[in-house]
Amino acid sequence: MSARRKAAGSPPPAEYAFAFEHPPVSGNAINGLGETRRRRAREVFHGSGARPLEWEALQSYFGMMVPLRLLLLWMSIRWTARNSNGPVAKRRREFASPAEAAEHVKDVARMFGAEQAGIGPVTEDCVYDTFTITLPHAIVVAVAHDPRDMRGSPDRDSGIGTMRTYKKTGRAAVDLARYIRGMGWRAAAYGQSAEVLHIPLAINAGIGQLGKHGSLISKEIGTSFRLAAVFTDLPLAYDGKVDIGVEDLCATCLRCSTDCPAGAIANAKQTVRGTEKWYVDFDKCVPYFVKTYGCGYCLEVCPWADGGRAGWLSERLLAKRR
Amino acid sequence: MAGFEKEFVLGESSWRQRLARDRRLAGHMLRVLWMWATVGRKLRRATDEAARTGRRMPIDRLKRGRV
Repeated sequence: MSARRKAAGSPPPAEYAFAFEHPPVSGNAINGLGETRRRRAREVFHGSGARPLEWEALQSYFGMMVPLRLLLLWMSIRWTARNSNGPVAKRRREFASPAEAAEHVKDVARMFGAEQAGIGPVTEDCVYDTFTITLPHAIVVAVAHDPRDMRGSPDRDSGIGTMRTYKKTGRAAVDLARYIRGMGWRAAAYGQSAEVLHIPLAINAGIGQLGKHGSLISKEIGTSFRLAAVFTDLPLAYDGKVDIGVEDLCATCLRCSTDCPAGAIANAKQTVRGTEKWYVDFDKCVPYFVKTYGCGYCLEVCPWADGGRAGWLSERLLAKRR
Repeated sequence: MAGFEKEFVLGESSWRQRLARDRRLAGHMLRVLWMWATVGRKLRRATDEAARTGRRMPIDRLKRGRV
């Protein structure tokens, strides 16, 4: 069944589930839950505009429901993101080695506001099926949320705080891409844009590991952060995937799955597009996410949430293995 | 998002193309703001009303089981 949408400009009757006359195809099916064959991901909710989305009506509704401040922040992010791509300097700066280039680029990313930066390859599982990979290397930047914003999550303030962090992350990525283009190499920033999958990119770049709540866990900044990426053809040394002990804790910890208001987090890994991994039930999570202007409850209750504690926790878990 | 990122070919844009893109983006954002102020106002009111009267909110119907 396809998701029929009301024409733009006329508000949907209240009895329709957020502008859907009929419920859309399950997001879990689109995401490939239960599929054993490997394939690229398909856009469901936050789209890039490359194709109409099954859940687009909900996304539009989200845009209509948010407080004005959040909408203005979104507009500011979009305006910044217009420079994600652009002209490349004719004169090219060469580096002695990919390792030197990687160190330089990560230093610059930190200068532009990134709290953590990593480098990894752009693989098939990091982009949607409509995306053509032309730039092989990804620099992933992470910026932590202000804990004061997230204290009352999920609420309007945490939604605004999240958007503020997106703004910082997007700005860091756009500035970094512009810097690399200034060095004569091609670079494109992907901030809040939905063309790429930031979590697999960040895993490849050694930012952290996937947690039970379907979000990334970093040893340095915990769980409460946002990601952006810069794709480039500048040869860079990769950081490689990291093991900080997330699997050991998530296997037994029940905190996020118990506390999730929508009951969307499972206690066992599931097969998604041919890979066994932690997966959050899309159909339960996203409507609640929209209703609360961007829920991040699982991230706040996670034992890894506190960036200061995450490093200590990782050391303890890894020591336990030995 | 309307696919604004896709209009660009890496490193091959002129200032005229960039200006045209900026104008389109500004127009798009003004349309979003207008929609938020008109259609969005009605939706926000309807949702607040549903919450106040304890009526089941439309979004609750989207919660489905696993595939």
